[in-house]
Amino acid sequence: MAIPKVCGIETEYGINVPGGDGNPITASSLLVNAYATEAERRTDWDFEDETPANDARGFTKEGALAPIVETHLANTVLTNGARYYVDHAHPEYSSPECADPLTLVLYDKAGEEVLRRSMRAAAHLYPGTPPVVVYKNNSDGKGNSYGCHENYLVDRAVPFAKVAAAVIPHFVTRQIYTGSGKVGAETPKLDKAGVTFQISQRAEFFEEVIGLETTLKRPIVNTRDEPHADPRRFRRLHVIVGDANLSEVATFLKIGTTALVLAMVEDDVASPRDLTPVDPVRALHEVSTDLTLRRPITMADGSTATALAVQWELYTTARKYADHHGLSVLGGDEVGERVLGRWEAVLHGLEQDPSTLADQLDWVAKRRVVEAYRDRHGCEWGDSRLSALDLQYHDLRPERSLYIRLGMERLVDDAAVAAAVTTPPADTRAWFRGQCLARWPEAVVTANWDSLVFDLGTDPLRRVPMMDPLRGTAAHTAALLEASATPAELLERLSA
Amino acid sequence: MPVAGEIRQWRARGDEAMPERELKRKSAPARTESEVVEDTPATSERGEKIKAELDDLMDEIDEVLEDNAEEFVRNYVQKGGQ
Repeated sequence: MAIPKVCGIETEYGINVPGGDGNPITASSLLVNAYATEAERRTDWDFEDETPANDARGFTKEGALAPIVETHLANTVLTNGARYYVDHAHPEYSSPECADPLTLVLYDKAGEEVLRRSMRAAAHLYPGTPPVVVYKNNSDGKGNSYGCHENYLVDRAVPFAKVAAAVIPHFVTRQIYTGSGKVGAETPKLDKAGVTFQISQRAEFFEEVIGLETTLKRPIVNTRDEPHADPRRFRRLHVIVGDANLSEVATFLKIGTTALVLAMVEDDVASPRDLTPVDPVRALHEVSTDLTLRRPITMADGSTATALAVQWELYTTARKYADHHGLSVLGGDEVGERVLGRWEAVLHGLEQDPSTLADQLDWVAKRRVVEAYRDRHGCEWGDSRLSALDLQYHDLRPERSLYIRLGMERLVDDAAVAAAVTTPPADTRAWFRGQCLARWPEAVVTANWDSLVFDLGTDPLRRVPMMDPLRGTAAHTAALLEASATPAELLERLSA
Repeated sequence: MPVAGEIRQWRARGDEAMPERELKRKSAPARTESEVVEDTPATSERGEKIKAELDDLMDEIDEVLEDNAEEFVRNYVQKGGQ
């Protein structure tokens, strides 16, 4: 029996500090600290009428030099249950655990809002220092990549090799709707001169099929085994092959289709034919660079199929799976049917004319803008204005973001996103984590994915394990939290 | 410390209201093969709309684009991450 596909997304954001000292760790820490400081002091985030003032902790004065950033502080857990910190010289937002793909879209968008507020908080707290600009993308166009990782709860009883075999065909081909698009190529693996535009930001950075690495020789299937939950019952499949999406439709499909593929493995449902490419890494690169969506992939059994055909096969199998097993593991039949319906519609669109999806998919939207700009200005490929357009698609500043300017289809609204910046999802353990942090910030000394540690000031520290991502929900703990006036009362009730 | 946590918490206000989350629900387009094969009026209308918007964007894009594209692109250098 498949288990619920609790899921999350971790995004490493790109940062740029025009006129700055070029230290990305300092800039990243500045964002995280500024957010933590301002979030502590205010809830409205309206800086319009504010006089720039010194930070409460005395970091800086107007016109002062760049603040000395307390890097040890640049690691926080938010009241929405997310983690926000500095990783590998990038600010990283790890969403709270979500029970369905649509809720995860909401919390992924809340992450963008956290980064936007961080930019404003930093500008407000450190006036006179060069502003930090944040980009939600995966590469600098010069051979450096940073990730957007997905996580899925998987039944430990299913052998990992079986999971890996099932996801490889999906990971090689899903980029036709999850790709964020990129002008040109930047690694020796691709013929740089021959590639003008590709579907995926990340594909060309992958060199292995399966492995533990995440920063070099990146594998299509990552074997990191760190469940952040009861290791006897659960795995956390850590997926590093995806692009960071701004498109809500792309994120929704990326998570929803992958969750479905994983549920099918757990229920032992497979497509009738083996869809494993003979050379998955090469196929990953070829799919990314085939804008016609017509190039066949050679399979291990010698047959061929296009990425679209593989996706149709996976979709058809998933459709049958849903009819037999239902979609409760995706967070309910309603959201599950939405995944299937959109999956089908997008595959139809890609088959007929990808440009009809310009308001839904990142790579299609970006390609349209780049092509339109080329037509209007007669630029050659290689013109830096096209690369600038590419970068600015991902700029999070509303006044600069091409993605926002394009007005693409939304699945969640701004009011819901604003609420999700501070409120945890109700249906996973993120609820308990976020609520405890919001109610008793002084008492929670440590928050991890699978535990909270309380300091009541009297006893030894008290650890509350949260080894099941689906316990600690609002349904389980809202009454308990309401009834507890103090953390001591909460712990007393929990141990009763 | 009996427990060494990797995440330090930060202190947030505890008095925020908990607004109802509200997801905008749109029903998924339940298309059938025959509907999509033809270029339906809805599709071409949408195509026209997208094209008109793109033209508008092209008219305004210089305001949005970074002033010196070459320098901007050259200076956008990231340390590799995961």
